[in-house]
Amino acid sequence: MELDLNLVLVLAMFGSFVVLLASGYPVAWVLAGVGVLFALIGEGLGALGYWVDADLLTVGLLVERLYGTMSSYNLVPLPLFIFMGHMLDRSGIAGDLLRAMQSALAGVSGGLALGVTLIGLLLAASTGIIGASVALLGTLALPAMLEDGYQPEFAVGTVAAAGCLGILVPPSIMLVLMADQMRLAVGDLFLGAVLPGLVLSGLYLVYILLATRLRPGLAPPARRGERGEGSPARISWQLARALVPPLALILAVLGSIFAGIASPSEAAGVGAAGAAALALWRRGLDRETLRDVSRRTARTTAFIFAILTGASCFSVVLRALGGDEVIESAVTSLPFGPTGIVLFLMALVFALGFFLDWIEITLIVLPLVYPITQALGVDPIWFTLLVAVCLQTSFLTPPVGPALFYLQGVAPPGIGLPQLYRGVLPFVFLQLIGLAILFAWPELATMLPQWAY
Amino acid sequence: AERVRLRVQSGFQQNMPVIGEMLSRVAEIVETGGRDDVRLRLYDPGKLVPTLQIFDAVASGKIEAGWAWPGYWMGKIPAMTVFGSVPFGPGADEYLAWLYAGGGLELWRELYAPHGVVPIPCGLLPPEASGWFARPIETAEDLRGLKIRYAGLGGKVLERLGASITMLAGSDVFPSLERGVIDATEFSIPSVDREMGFYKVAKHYYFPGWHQPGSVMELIVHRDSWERLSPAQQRYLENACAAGAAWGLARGLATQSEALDFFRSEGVILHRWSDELMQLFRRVSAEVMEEASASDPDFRRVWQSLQDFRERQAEWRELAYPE
Amino acid sequence: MNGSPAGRTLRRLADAIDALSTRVGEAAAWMYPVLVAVLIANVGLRYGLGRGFIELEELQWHLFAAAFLLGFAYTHAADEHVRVDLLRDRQSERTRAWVDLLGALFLLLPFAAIVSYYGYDFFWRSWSLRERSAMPSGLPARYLIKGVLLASMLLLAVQALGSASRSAARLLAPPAREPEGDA
Ligand code: NA
Ligand code: NA
Repeated sequence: MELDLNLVLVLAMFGSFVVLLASGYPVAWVLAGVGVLFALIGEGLGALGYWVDADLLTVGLLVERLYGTMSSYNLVPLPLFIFMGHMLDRSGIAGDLLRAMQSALAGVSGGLALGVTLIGLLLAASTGIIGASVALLGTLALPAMLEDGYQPEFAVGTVAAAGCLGILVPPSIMLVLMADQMRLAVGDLFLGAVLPGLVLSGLYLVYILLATRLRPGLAPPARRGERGEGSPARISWQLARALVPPLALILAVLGSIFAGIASPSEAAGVGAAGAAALALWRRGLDRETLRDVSRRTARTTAFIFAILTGASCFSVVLRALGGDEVIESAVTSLPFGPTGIVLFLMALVFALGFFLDWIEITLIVLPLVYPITQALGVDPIWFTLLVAVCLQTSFLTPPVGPALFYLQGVAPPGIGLPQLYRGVLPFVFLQLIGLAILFAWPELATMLPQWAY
Repeated sequence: AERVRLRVQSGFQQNMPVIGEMLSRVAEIVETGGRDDVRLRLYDPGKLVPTLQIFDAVASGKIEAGWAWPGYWMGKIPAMTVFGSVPFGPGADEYLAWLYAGGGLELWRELYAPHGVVPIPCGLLPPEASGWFARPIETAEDLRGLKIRYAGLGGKVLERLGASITMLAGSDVFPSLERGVIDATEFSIPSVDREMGFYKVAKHYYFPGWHQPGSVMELIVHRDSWERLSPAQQRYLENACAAGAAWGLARGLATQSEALDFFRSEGVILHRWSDELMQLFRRVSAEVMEEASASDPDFRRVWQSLQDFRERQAEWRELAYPE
Repeated sequence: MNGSPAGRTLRRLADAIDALSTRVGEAAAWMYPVLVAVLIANVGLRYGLGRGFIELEELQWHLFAAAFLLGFAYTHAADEHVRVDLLRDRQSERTRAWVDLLGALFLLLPFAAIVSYYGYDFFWRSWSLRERSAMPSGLPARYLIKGVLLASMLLLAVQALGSASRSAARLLAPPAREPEGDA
């Protein structure tokens, strides 16, 4: 009887969460509010003499939990990487890269598409604020591609997919948050993500090369003379000038983590300072820019931590009611075996990715899944990176695909959601192939972190 | 009496050797010891609140109980570390004597009372190891400039000797040691250190653990929850803790040589600090304890009680123990 | 632009509260460049002088924590907290105003109020002990950052009232004269 009432409340909690989420009220406050409401309900039922394990004091624990988040060193890199991303966004390096790539790859059919993919990989240093890199590529590269006569679907698909590489390729704020949830070292997860990130971009490049060879209409080669005029030496110089700063920055950040020169927070600080230096060198960093970048950083960080706080409030009440045990035993009792359960969880994350952002999934689902992966004895780095690839894909999947949404905002007139949906389809398929490769060869994720020891 | 179930937020994972097992053992004794009206429900770290927030959560009555190491609350009540462990302080047996028969527990209860918290000694540990070092440390000069993760007053002592004490997220300690962000770290007794895997990345393991010759763990219960228990239930819990502590100490003592064998097979070099360094540590520790006493009256009172007790026992210990 | 005097009052209240949250949040945003500077100083001192400072390391999380906490209300005022847009895109202005009104009153406000209530106790315990870092060489005055936690939740509660006022004002204004988009 006691347990039943708690179980009813657990189910009601999830139900109200889903309904209120759909209302469109900010996710953070829906999570927080549902936690508080069910604590109040528990308080009320307790006063009526029922035995309920959650009451107002349970929500009171949020204060200690929030203070735990405040005083932990795990998440300090997060706002610094966000700062770095916003700063790079303002530095103009993406434009340099694109111009250099255009010159270098002119005459190659699909050259611009290949260039966009490589830039997406380099913008990995922009740390995974997807809105920024997708919008950037959409503004800079998309008009040029359409002008060259690219098939619109192919052009938008390439831009959307390339813009999303940065969320997986380290440094990545998503991986910082996941490391915290899965109690992994940030550096290990960064190292683990290197090969999967390269595999995915490799798949993109191969696809673009094949598709443009098989169907030349997709991407006609740029006409030399209109752009990319110049001697090979000049082009190389231009390319080097554009490539070196972002490469140096990636190397400084990842290198100082991997080589043990700095803690992840310090490396992120170095990255933020490096991006500011780059902005200073390229454009002259004025007070206005610094203020703007700081404010953007403040708002991006705040919405992530608001969801973290809301999820913490929701989960402490859920846990008091025994909800996480219910979930754990439900999942582990599935008749699949460990591999099957991992597949099941992947499918679940993938499906949730149609409707929810990576932040919600990372902060709501990972804490529930963490004890399950422990119980199954699954390699945590591999598992986390599988989730990361799923979530990277969710940026591209309708109806809630942030990359599609950002791209729609900056795309030239005449490019609407239907083109976007059709355009990203092949890339979603490539993502699934990448996921399958990572699933079949866990070494891709575990090899580098292990080799480091 | 009323049936009670205390939610206990633990500061350590239940699967942690010796330390985590000890609390599980206490809960098991409570469950199988004959009363069916007291139960402990254990939560792993962070499930309700993070380890360092346990005291606040219990003091404010949000959870009924917590299990941790008293030294964690040093920022609030500096004297607490004296109950948990101090550099060159007592070993487990001497702690037991002071707490149960030397006035220590009364002081402990008195210090927690204003916070609405009732302490029960609920765990004992053998001496810790002194930590994992990337390079051998032969002289005081070798400590200079060393980047170390070292908790509490022991860290303060090393800082005095020119080391840099650094803070890291728990999950970053291992990779930081591996990659050389830090040069050394201490954690616990060998069998626990084994689980942390430090032997893979640092090959010099130092003894003795002068910074923590013996440790006491506490079960802290919110006063209202405590007073709701009948005297018989209260004794029952205290006894379960005492039995669990004895079991934990036994287990702690019995499993260390196994861990040492394992380390040796992994190529770890086991070192003892040189006499010269031990004397240095002892002298600087005395200074650090003196300063801590001078800056806080409660610290002085507790420290004095422990010192007096140990001095009174010194002659007898010298006579009675073979070495 | 506004229909009733009640609507005007509500809107003025909402504007004032938004201005407060924004001012606090924008001031707090400067902590991020300061945090970058502290980190660079920390690395520099360690490699330059060969020593680290626990005070500087603790300062890192103090800055980080204060900045993200004081950004909650600011980001709400800027309407940048993440929403699930699936249905919201199809809602009428009035429905959205209702969602925002009810959400502010029954989700955000209770949360911010109750965390403020417990946050006060949390702050008070720390203050009465003059709590400091548990690291012997760490920063003193731990109660300050706990005070920031309390302040951020109080500000968020006030912001909930402000945002409720704005939504109520929208509902009071005749639909035909409602301005396009968010204020
Ligand atoms: Na990235
Ligand atoms: Na999606």
